[in-house]
Amino acid sequence: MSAAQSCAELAIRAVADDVRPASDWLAQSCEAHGVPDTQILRLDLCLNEALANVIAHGGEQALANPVRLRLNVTCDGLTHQAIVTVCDSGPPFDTTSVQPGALPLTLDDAEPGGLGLLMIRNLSDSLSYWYDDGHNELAFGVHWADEAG
Amino acid sequence: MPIEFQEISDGLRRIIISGRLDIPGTAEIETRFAAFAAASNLRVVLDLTGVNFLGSIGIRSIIVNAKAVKQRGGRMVLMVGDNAAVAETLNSTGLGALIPILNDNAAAEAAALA
Repeated sequence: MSAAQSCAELAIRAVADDVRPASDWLAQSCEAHGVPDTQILRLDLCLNEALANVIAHGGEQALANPVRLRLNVTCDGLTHQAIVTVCDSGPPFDTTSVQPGALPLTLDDAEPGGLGLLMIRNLSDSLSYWYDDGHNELAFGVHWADEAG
Repeated sequence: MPIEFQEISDGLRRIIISGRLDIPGTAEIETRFAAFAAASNLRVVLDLTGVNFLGSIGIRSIIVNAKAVKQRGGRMVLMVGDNAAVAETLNSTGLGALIPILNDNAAAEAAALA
């Protein structure tokens, strides 16, 4: 059986001011395609972390070019999937290859940073990365069954 | 992005944050958050029941202020009520092991004063 598929796209600037509009676009696009609220929140958190990484670490090339966002929603029988792809122009950086550091044991040891990648890993059901034609493409997805929400 | 505080008793303060703790939301409250948490020996219940989005930048802000409160001789605890999404985010990032997370006000106040 082939999967039914729908898609939405948006281009934003790699600046903090465009993060909230990106979240709004994601929520509206997901709602239009029947993605449950709990899954929208997971995707929104991942998107926020991915964009924060691009803004903070993408360098001049990432900041000077649009960040392209793509949402794909598919349904194959009773299983649904929503995947967000974030495409930026920064230097190659494979998010999936970075091993999260050990969690701190005390508040004194806690460093206020490095949680974004951990959150993307924890919140997504699928995560992939590729570098193509000068662009990082990070894709994170969530799955849900028809009645699970 | 609303943030406010209430004096529960002498030296015990509830700081209430609601809305989205994403990049712009955290930027909007972080100066007031630091100011509200700045006092010696202050016990703080950080009420997150009205937060509907907690990104890593928001968690970072909580860590920074919890450490600052501790360094001034105080203690911060988190009150999440029935906000399962925020509780899950806090626990999945390990913050639950560092700062007490409580579900009701009385328990949160007792933990802050412990």
